Amino acid sequence: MSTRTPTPVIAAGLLLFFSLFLSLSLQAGGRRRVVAASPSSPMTIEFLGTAGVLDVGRIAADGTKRNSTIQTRTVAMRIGPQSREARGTATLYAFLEIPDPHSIVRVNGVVLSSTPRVIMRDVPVGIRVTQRIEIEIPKDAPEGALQLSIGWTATE
Amino acid sequence: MKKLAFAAALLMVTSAALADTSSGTLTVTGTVESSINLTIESAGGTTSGTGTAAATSALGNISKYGSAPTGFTLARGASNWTLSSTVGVKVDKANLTSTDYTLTAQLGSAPASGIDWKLNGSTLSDSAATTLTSTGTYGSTGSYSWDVVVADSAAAAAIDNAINFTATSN
Repeated sequence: MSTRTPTPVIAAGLLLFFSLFLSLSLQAGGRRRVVAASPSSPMTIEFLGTAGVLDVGRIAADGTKRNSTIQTRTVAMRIGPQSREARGTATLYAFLEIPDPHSIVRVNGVVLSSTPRVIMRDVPVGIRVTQRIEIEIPKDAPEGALQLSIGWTATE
Repeated sequence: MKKLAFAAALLMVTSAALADTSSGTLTVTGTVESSINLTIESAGGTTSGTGTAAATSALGNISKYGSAPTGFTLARGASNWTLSSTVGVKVDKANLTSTDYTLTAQLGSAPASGIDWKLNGSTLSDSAATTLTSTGTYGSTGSYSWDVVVADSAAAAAIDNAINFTATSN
C-alpha cells in the first residue's frame, strides 16, 4: 500500500485558503462580534407601478400600410434595494424567458431572444430607471392572447 | 502548468464571488385582434383622399352636351345620358385567417329624381346595400365600374351623394 503525499501545488492552495480565513479573522479584531443581519437573499429587480405584469391591452392593426403593428410602453424599474442616491452602477441584460412565436420584442431598440443581451450599461443601482419596451406584431400573426415573459439580469 | 491552472481557477472563483447579480421577470400580456381596412384607391373626377377610407370626387358642372368630367366618359342616349368611370377599392387584412371578403355599397342619401347611381351595373339605393363581390381578394385593388345616369327630365340641380362601401371578411 502506497500513500501519496500532497503535491506542492495543493499545499500552496491550502496555504492560500487558510491565509484568507486568518486575515478575515484578524480584521474582526480577533473578537467574536454579534451583528444583526437579515437572511441573505439575492438582490432583485423591482418593477415600479406594474407589479411585474405589463398589460398592453388590445392590439389591432392601425390601418396603415405597414406590415406590422408596434405597441410601445415604458416601464420603470429599480435594481436592488431603494436608496436616495445611486449605489454604483450595473450592466442590465434582458432575454425572453417565455417567448411569443409571433411577436418581436425590443428593449431600448435591442431585439430580444432567449439569450441575454446587454440592454444598458452603467445603470444606476438603487434608484428608479426606465426602459422602453416595443412589442411588434406582424400582420400575418394570428389573433389571440399574447403572453411572454422578459427576464432581466443586472450585474454590478 | 498545473500551478497556472490552479491559480486561474482560484481567480475565477474569487471573481464570481465578488459580482452581485440582480434578477427579475416582467410578464407581458395582451390580446391580438384581427382587423381589416378599406381604402378608396381611385375614382373618376377630381379626387382627394385616395388611399384613405374617405375619398371625395368632384365632377364639377355636368351636362348632356357638355364635356365629360376628368376621368369620366360621357354617353348620350335618347332620353338620358351617362357618365362612366371606375372606382378602385382595396381591402387589407391583419391577424386574420380569412381568405376573402364581401364588399357592398349603399348610397348615403336618396338620389335626386331622375339620377341613377350604378356600380358594376347594379343600381344603388339608400335603403339597402348592393353586393359588389363576395370573393374580394385582400391586398389588391378591385376595380368597379361606376355610372351616373341622368335622365333628360331631371332638374338642373346638384346631384351630390355618398357611396358607402362596407367590407366584411368571409
